[in-house]
Amino acid sequence: MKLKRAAIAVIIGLFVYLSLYSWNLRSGQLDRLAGYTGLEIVKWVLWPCEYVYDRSVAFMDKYVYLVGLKQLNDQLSSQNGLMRLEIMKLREKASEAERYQHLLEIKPLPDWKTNGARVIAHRMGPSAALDSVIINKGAVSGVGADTPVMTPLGVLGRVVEPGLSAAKAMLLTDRNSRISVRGQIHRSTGLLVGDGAGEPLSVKYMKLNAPVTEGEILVTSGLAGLFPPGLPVAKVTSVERSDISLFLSVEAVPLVDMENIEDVLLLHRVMPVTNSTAGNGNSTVQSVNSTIPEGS
Amino acid sequence: MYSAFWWACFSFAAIWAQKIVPGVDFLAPGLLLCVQMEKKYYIIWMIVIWSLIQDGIGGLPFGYSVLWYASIIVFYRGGAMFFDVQSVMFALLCGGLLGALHPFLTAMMSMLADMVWVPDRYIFEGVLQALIFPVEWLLLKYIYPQRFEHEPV
Repeated sequence: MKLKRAAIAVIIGLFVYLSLYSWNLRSGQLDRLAGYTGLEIVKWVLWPCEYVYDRSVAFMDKYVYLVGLKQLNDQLSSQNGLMRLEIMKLREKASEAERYQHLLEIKPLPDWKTNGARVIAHRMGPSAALDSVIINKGAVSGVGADTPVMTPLGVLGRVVEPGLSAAKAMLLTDRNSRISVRGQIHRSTGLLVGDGAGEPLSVKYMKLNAPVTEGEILVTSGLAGLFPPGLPVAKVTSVERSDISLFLSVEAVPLVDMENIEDVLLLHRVMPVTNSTAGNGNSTVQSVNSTIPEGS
Repeated sequence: MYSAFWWACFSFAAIWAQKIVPGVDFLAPGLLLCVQMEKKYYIIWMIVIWSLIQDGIGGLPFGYSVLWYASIIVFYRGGAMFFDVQSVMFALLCGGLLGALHPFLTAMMSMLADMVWVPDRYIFEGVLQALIFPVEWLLLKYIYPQRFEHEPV
């Protein structure tokens, strides 16, 4: 009798579980609930201690050691990071300008703005199937699914699950990560695929005649629309040509040290501001124009 | 009421431990201890809250932690028919079963979510889980205040 009751309980439990699982696969409601509650709880467990630790270390650094020199060093280090990012952007823009100087019409790339965030944890928990980091910015700060995550050195990955004030980002070394890239010099495109933590990345679908060389920097192509084009991602370490494949066998290493990352930049697309104070006549014209399909 | 505070402190410490040792569940021994004390309301709340935490920070679709924590109850109920479920030996056995279950569950959930599964990592984590589980359970049993065991829920 007891065994029969246990069997019925297990069958009912399985039925409820499978129903919830199927419903969640379709709607994603339970994933969102877990993301919003679980990430929040973990953030507020980890972050205050991290904050106190950081403040204590910062206090010790500033007042026990050489005060002026340390402050100057901090200032220069932060400036150096920003300058490197600026140089990378300008270098990419300069090469882009050269390529397109003969064209008459250049569509301006949508602008992106950066937002700093702190890494509060790396991969954790038994169900952590992704190489990921948890950051202390979430939907409240405008972080959404697929928000690009980078450092001044290069791309780190993208957000896969935003919480309210925390988010989970998948690293580009994860085996499920795919980023469309191109060579910074030779402009050959490929798909950068992660192969696990500590393993080199592989570049798929790069044509056999692509003039890619060792040491070349791979940048985001922007073809998928998730990342802005031109962000440095990885450095090519080996290029092999196969007799039986249509594509090159290319390996690369990420530019960012994934293990010791503490702070990241989140990239947000800046939406074009429409002039709401314009007259009704203009607004009508704009709305009429916006309904006309491209190319007609 | 005091025991609820004790379990909240335990959850806090376990989350920090999970940050230090990735891939291992430090909350699971607490659930076994609670199941052994037959505190039904706490068990339900623990499974709900801890499942949300584990699935929130994890990379798999929702469902892994529900199966994971439900398996502890199934092991306990099944084990009660054959063993002394309050003994260290049962904690060792439960740790071993959970360690073996971890790669199997992650493989199944990864396959359902169409994700790449890395066997070496999860087998290693399963071994770690099997080693850590009984030690942590023993520690919890030792430090859990006796007066909470008879506290009305």
